[in-house]
Amino acid sequence: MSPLQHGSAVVSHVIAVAALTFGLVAGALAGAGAAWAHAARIGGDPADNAELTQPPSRVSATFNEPMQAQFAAMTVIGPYGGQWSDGRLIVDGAVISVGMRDGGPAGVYTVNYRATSADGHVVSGSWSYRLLTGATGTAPPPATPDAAGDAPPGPDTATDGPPVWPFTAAAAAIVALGAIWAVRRRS
Amino acid sequence: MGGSAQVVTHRRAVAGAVLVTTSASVMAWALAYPATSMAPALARAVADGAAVVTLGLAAVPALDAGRYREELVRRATAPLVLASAVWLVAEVFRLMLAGAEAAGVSAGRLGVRTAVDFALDTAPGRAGLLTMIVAGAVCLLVAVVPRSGPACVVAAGLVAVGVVGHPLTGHLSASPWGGLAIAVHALAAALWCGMLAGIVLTVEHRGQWARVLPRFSRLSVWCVAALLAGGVVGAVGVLGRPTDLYATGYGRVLSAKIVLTVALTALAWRNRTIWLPAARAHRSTAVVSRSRAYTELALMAAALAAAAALAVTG
Repeated sequence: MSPLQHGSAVVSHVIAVAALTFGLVAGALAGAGAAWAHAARIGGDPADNAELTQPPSRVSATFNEPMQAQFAAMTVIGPYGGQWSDGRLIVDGAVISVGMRDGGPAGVYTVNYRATSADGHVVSGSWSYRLLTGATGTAPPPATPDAAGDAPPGPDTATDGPPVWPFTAAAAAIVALGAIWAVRRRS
Repeated sequence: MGGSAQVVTHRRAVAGAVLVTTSASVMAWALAYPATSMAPALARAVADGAAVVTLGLAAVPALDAGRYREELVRRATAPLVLASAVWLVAEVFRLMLAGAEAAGVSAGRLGVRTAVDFALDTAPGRAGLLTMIVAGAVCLLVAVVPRSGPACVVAAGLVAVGVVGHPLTGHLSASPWGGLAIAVHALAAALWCGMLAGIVLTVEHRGQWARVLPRFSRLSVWCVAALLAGGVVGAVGVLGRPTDLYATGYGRVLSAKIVLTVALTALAWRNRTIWLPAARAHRSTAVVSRSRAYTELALMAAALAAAAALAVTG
């Protein structure tokens, strides 16, 4: 047998083994396909475009996979641009919820959310519901958020410390200079 | 002196690699539009490309016969320092971009506290941190410690850990089998592409090609088999149904990657039947061997960029 023929025999063996392995593994995993899909919101409470007669005490979004507790954010913006979520965010597996302030007026409320799935992908979006009967009496209008109402909520920049990019740039420069020095020293 | 001519060739090779990687990243971004963003995909492509080259350079001495190995180790050292440094820097930028994306701010406005939280508390952040540590350790090890057999093995092992860090926390991390399949896929692809890049960067004359190429060819058969098996399992796992292959951004990038892989496998097969016997019999000059390797490497770089875009497509 020439080396080439020998090589072909090896290749066909390898292909056969690979095909068999693939068949077995794919068969074993066929049922698990749906569980691997990308992260997405699959439901909300209140639901999209729901019409409520009572203001909800919490608003929650359900995702198709567990979300990371860090970097999750959710705000509820009321009819006049006021923020009616109270900032008490809870991440419980695939459900992210936020508490609501009392006394919101009737009208359309928009829920903006932003969260990171277990594999690090960012999911953000919004949905709306309508409150048919507002609270009786005049509730104090809550603080209007800095950002435009539709923007997904971000981190609190006041407690965020200095920007990280100068450190990144400095680290890159040090590594580059060190590597060039090490190569020059050798040659 | 031959050295300067060599440097020019390497410079051209690096320029070509950057060009191919960038254009392939743009293509993948266009295919996935609007499901992905350009900067993270490009940072990931550069980081992965540097990681692959680092792995190949760390492992390439194993391809030559024992008594010639010293020369390959010596030649591989300078490119290895540079490749691992590029890898480290690209990982730093990639971590910053990923943190900014998770926090919903631009990279310029990402604060130190948020960046540290992202790096320590999230799975992708920790994977990035691990990869940075590995890249830094390899760079330091190669630059400082005199290279011996054990040092080479340690360096190659470290790089391998760094290569699988990100795939293990990627799209398929929720499933242990999917994570394993993608880790095998990534490692096999990195070994195959990296070894060829390592050969091009270190092997000079046709005698060396004659010794190194048959071993590379034997190794690459196993790599391609593992790559295909792992990749197919992963693709089946991620895609819900076949129509996703063209209906979603992720599927379109995956389709491009499949096309590239088929083309690459066909080219590799052709090289195996034509180039390998010629090189083994010393009939192929080093220039011819090198140009054949460049063609294959260009396709590999494009596939790698597509893989990087795939990994950041949500």
